[in-house]
Amino acid sequence: MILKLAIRNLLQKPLTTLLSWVLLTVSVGIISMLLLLQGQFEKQFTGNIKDVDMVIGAKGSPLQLILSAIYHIDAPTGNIKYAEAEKWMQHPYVEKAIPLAYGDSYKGYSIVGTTKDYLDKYSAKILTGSLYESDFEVVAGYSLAKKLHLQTGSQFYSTHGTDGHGEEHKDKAYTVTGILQPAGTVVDNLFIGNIESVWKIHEHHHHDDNDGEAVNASNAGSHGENDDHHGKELTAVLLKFRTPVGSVQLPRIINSQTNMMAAVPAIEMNRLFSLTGIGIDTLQYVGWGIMALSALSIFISLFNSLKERKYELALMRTMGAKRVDLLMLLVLESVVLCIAGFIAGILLSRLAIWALSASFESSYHFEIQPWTLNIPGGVQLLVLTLLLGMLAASVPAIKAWFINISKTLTHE
Amino acid sequence: MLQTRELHFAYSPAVSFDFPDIYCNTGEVLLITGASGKGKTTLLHLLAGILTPSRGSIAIGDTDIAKLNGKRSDAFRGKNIGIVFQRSHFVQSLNVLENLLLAQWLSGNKRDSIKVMTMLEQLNIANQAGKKTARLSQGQQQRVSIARALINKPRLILADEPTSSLDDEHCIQVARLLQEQTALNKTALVIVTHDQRLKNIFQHSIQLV
Repeated sequence: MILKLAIRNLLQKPLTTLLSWVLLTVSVGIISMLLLLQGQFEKQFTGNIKDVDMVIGAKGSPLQLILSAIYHIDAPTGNIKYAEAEKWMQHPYVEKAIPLAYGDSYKGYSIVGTTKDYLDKYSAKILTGSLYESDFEVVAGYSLAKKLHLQTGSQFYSTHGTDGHGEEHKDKAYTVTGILQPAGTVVDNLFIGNIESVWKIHEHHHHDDNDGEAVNASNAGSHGENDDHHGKELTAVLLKFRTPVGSVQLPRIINSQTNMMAAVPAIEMNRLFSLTGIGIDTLQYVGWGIMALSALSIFISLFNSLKERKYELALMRTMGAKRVDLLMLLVLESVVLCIAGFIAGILLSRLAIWALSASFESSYHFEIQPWTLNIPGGVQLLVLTLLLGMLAASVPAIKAWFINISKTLTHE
Repeated sequence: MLQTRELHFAYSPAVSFDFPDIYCNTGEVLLITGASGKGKTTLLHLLAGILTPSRGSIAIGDTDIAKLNGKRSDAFRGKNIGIVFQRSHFVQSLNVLENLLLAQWLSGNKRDSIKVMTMLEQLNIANQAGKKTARLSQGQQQRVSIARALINKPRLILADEPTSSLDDEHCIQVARLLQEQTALNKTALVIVTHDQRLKNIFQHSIQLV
């Protein structure tokens, strides 16, 4: 009955209630959206880093190298010679090295030439069809296959570059031999085949291009030389060290003594997070600010209505209501509002993320699950919202506790 | 039913009241009159247990309510005393029916809408049950507050100037209604008023001087 009365009292002043509710909804929405984004963002990014201690690629921006070699959301930094990279791939400190040749795409999705180790690293399993066996055969990640409606046996021409507007390599078509199971990693949005395919596609390109595509003998002097590995180029190599000493020593040596670049994913991603973190933190402060504002709004509306409702409360006391009933009534009014704001805020954040997820997917191949039940920090946020509600109600509730019935009834 | 002895109440050393002993039996109506400032409302609040007397006793049935502490006083009042105020006040956000259900619930009784509707029927306002109280006329509002005072079958009904804001016609109606319901529900009724019209209707009266 008190709950019903609390709800009725809230509805009695629809505009004031609406204001407080909207403020709460927006603040909870912003905060929970950020928590969810940040959580999934970091989970996806750190999940893909797993077992990659270092990346070797052409000189350029180390962050760009990481973003392109591991996440395939940036252009490659350039090419490196297979022969030169091989020295480091067989270094005693290195446990496993996975060579990558990429730079071509189909409809914006990267085609990566690599070894089977790459699939093992991400524990990618075949869902339908079979693994690629010969040149110009690829397996497709689950998400991209779904989006591009690809099936086993589908064929396509690759495009030069990653933006989808490059020149098509018309002479050779790739064939999809299998679709991978959904893995929640970068593999979901990649075509994966052998390195030789990428090399062969570019065999007839006799122009110098240094924009990151693994080309056969891009060095002018070596044009037309034979097709052994030593003339070939790679875009990047992912390395896992046997010993932590490797990650201390090797990057320094490679960066200073070769014309290749070594980047450590953990360091670069930390740098990225701390950069984007500023934006996220600022937004979060805005969220908290709005939440404080909504608490103030609840407080003011309760406090103001208390003046008008003093007689009503005294009247309830004459009908047998205990002090604690009135206290409960006021606290409930605030808490009910807060719960309504919390629920609406969570829904709002999910809707916002759902609306954003399409653009995230197309521009970053970054998938977010808006409908996950696991809300990072959700419990803390709920507790905080409730505490805020009780705090806002506390002063009015205490005033209601000490209402002098006789005085209130005589001087209305 | 109601019996007070040597009641004394002081707001401050300068403002204090000594009240004559009053007595009111079940089914009877007692009128307490007096000019403003003579402590009529103070006496009513004392009888309701809203104020605690500095001295003296107030027996309702076998209970001396002057000796009840806060929580038990609230509970006793809810169960045994119904109050009709001069101007009718209700919980704004609830309609007529819900206001009466609230009164039942606050007194610790079960919410019983059949009983409430029967009561509204008796007072001729059953057709207003779904309306917000602010939309009723003064006379209708006064009927609802009488219904609210009666709904828990209290042993004592206290009425504070129940007719002073009503015209002659409604004044007589409300007075008759109170009288009828007192007899019907076997309760004692104490009316505090300066309304001279009521003196012609009720025999027992005490004047505060």
